[in-house]
Amino acid sequence: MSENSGLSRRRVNTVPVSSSSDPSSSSVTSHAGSAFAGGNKIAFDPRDLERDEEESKAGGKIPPLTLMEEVLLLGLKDHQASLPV
Amino acid sequence: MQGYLSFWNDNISYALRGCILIELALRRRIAVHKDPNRRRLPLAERLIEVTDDRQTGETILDETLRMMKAQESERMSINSWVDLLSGTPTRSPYPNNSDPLAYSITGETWNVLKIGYQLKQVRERLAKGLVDKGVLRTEKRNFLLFDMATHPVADLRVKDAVVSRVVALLTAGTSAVPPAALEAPGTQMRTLRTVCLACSAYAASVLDNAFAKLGYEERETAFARCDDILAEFSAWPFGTNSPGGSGSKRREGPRIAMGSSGNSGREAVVGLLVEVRKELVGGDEDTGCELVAGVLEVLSKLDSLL
Repeated sequence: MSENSGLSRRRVNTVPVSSSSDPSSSSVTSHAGSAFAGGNKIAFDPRDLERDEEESKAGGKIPPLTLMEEVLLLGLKDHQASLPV
Repeated sequence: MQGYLSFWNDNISYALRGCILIELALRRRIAVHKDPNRRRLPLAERLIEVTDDRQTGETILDETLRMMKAQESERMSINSWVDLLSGTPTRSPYPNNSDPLAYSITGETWNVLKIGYQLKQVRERLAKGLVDKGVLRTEKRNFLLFDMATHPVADLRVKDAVVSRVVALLTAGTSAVPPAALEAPGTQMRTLRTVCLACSAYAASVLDNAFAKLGYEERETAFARCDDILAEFSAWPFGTNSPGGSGSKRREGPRIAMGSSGNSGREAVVGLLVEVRKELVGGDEDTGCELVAGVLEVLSKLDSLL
């Protein structure tokens, strides 16, 4: 894989602890892991820090959808679609 | 074609612009300009200031925030901003008022007039954002003569969760705010967020869509409840619209027809006010929430609700 190809999987910044006795651990920790809830490892992203700062200033977690998105979603009927207007 | 987000519903476009301002205020980026004299002005005429110009990561919010930051030298009212974002800068011509739109269409102001144009495709861009978030998907549909990209719901759970929150809020029978009406614990401003969601959906005329599973009476009661909530939250401090005052006249018909359903409803609205007041930062000095109240006031004046 070439270094300058557009997409590549993010790598975890931390070096796996060398004292680990599990032989499979190095291969498990070498990629960024799952972003889904329950995934064991997520790459460190500079944006994580911004998000923490955001949360402390805003007084809590920012919900996944914005108010605009929620209102738009309420306007859609199930199994139907929005027209690009 | 029934069920498509109707492209003849202009209210939703207008309400979405209001939602941009509310979301920025909830995220503590903008607020009503702190000027002790502002209290003489009607709520919707008070000026907006940028209190924090850090990006939010949501393109439409960030675009709006940049425009507002650029306009800081000549701050504009809540009313003017909702109009401008909607591309209708002529709705409030106050000749004797300090509203900059009324007298100067020069340099900076001219740039501002372009905002409506720039934000024109808000609905389509929001839909694309929801595709990125995995909630909608993109589909090419053939409409007789032309192909068009449409965005059906991909993850019904997300939509159902939004519907459930609104329905739980508007059908609550006691003063306790039902947990089902709220986002996950730890979410910032979560009571006020659902209030804003219900009120904006009401102003956008998309609320009956959320009431699909309710019977006729429940639906009418929920509408009347939303009307009460909007009346209370479109005043600052929240809850200072006198009961039975000008704010809550609109749906008198159905409410009278329903007889005594008003009491538990009143309790629920009062309970909601109590919970939201706990979320305010500095109580009546929370200028961010003062802005939210102002936007709700603007939305409450929409034709759809009169």
